[in-house]
Amino acid sequence: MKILVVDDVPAVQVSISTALEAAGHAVSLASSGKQALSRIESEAFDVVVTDLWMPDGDGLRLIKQLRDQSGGPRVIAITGGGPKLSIELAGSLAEVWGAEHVLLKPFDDRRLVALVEGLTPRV
Amino acid sequence: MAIVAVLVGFGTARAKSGIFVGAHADSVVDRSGRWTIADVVGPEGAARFAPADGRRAANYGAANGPHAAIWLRLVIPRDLATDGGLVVLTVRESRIRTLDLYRAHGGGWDVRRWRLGVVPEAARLATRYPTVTLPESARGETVLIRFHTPSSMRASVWVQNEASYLGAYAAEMMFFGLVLGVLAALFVYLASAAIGSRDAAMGALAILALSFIFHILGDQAFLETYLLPGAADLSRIISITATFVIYTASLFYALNVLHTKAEFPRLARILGASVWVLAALTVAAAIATATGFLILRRLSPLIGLATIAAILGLVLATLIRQPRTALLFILCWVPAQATGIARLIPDLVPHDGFNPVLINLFYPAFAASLLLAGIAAASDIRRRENALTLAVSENAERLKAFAESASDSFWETDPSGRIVFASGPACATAGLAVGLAIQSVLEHDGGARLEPGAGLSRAPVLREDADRGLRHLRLSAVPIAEGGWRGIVSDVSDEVMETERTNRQRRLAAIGQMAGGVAHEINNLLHPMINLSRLAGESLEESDGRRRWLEIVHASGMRAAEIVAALLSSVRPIPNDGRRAPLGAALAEIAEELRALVPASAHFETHLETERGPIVPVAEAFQVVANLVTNALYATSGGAVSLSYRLVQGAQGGLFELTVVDDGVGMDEATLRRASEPFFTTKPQGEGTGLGLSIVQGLASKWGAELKITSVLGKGTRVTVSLAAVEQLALHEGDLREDSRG
Repeated sequence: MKILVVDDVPAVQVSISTALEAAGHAVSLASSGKQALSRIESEAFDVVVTDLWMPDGDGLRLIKQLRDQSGGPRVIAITGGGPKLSIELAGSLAEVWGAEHVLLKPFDDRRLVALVEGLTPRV
Repeated sequence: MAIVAVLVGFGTARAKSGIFVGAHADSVVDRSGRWTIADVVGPEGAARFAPADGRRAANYGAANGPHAAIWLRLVIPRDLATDGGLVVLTVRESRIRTLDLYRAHGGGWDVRRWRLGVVPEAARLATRYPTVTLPESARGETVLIRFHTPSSMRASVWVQNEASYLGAYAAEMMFFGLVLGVLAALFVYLASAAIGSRDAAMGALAILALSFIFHILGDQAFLETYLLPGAADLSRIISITATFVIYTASLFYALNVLHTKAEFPRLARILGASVWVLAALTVAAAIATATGFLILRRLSPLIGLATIAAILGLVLATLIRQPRTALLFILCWVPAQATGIARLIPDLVPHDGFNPVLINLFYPAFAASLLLAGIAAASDIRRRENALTLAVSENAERLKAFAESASDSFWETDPSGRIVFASGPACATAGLAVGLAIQSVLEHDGGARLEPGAGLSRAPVLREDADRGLRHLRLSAVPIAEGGWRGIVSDVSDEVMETERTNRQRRLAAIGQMAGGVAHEINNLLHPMINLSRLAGESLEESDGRRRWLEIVHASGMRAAEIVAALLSSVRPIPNDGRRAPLGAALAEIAEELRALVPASAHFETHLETERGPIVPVAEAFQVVANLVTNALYATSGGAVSLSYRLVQGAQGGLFELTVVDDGVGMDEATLRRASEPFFTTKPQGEGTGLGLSIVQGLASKWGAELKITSVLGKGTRVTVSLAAVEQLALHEGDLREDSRG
């Protein structure tokens, strides 16, 4: 599958992309919501794995915009929490706005891989 | 009565030592005042006289004009017992200025003259009214008397022997002395009482007493006869002025003592104006009399009767509203009023019959009325004083009870700073006790000093209370004008603890926020550490010792992640720290938090009108609001969501309404019905309806709130959670009980 990983922390990008690539997926990277959107415009992805809380913009907005695109990529949200954000609320919001799953960092990358592989592409 | 009988001469008349001859005198009035004896003798002169009718006393009045002279013709009674002494003829009318008595003597006339204030021949003392002596031989003779008075005349002509005359005159003097003495004493008492009590009625009584004294001195000719010999004009002015002052003061007194202003405001205004008119007339009468105009003097009886009539009318009106006051007034003033009328009517209708007893009765009667009224006024003042004292002591008791039941305690010092009053538990805890110096208590507390004339308000100090442990006490002081201070000791322990609690919570929230931020960073660092160390370890051979090192790195990362999670759950104020707040206050906090989460593309508005509301767990409120707002945001696509909270007046009373409105897709009726179903019938969890309404529904029913959803497909949805304002107290109290148990 073609997967876009969006996170502002390069080490996290490395960790996740390594695990996904090891499982045989094609991984692209973006370090902000804005960057992710421009990538998605030019390229089709099956899954977007995005952080919820990034300095330049919010992952929630990205998720919402992806949701509004019919036939767009499925979304898995990952988050390390935030100054205001409670885990429970973030999860609930992500879910409401259309993320398929929410994972709290640090999580086992193999679980992410399993969740990605469990997703069926949108029709 | 005995005195009165002696005074009017009844006793002497029976013994024939004195005989009233006024009713047996023929009389004629010479309006010109120019007649001589020649005009009243001889057949022509004698015919002028109106014969005595034996019933009327001679009363000729001032109606005849200021120059009119009155002639009387009478026979000196033969049966007068003289015992060898002189015959004394008196006309007991102090208003007579001059009198000439003509007695036929040797073909001519022997004339005896009497002038007011002039000591007569063969006498040592001037008399207040005409007194002429005749020899014993005059008995049986007819004499002619001419006298002149500028005012009305109530002559009572007496013929007596010397002893009878002297006795009667002495008794009269004693009587008036007594009346004047009583009046003077009354005046002193009433005046001092009036000044002391500032009572208008009492003041009017004092004025009445004084003016009555002057009235007697002038009207009974004491002034010009004994005090200021010859000052006849002055006496006349004083007499008439005093009379008018009596009218004025009487009406003023009646208005005040009958509380007319309160009972009949309109009548009080009219009669109040009349008082001023009377006062003006008083001045006018004084001036007119001084300048020789007698018009007001002639009107005086009429004005007097009108005043009495006005007072009587007022009393009758008061009788309906305040029978007790009116009856007391009548009781006090009947003697003066009745005798006053009896005295004034003969003045007004000079030729009518009159009774000299009634005329003189006026004096003691008026003094008696004044005395009674003074006693009544004094007892009224005493009654009011008692009522006032009672009210003051009741007030003091009430304030004391308030002070003792108040959470604040009160204290007061004398000018030297010694505590003279300290009430309430906080005073005791603060060490304030009666007898101690306030300064020493304050110094013990840490050196604060009270400066004379300055107040004090100090930060709470901590004191140990035997029953309630450590208490925070705040002491304030304000200076008293007379010196010293008074102030309050407030037990502010609850406030201090509440402030400390709030501060602690604020600190915790700040730490929580910081911890949230730190956790985010650390989690981002831990994530690659954990995953990459595991991956690296797995890439090594089982036998490779470095694999063991990487396992340690991985385990440490996992442990660090646990610590971060534990830290977050311990400091985060929301969602579940069990804190409670009024719904309005909780919403303000929640709205702020939500605002940070809502995407910039959505229009999220809040309208929170009050911080009040039922006390609810903040976490529950957060769940309700977050779910509703999340739903609304979900339903809108870049549209508007508003959260509002206000107190509205419903049919059943006040309602707190929490409303979330969106302009999103809305729901059809079928979806709406499903959305409104109680949570236990909704779809299995994990399927991700995302509506969260089941949670909202569950919490709303727990709060006793009503959940109402209206939705129009394509237009938007409105969700309202309504809580009865009356429930606030119940919920609050239950809350407090719960808190106190905890």
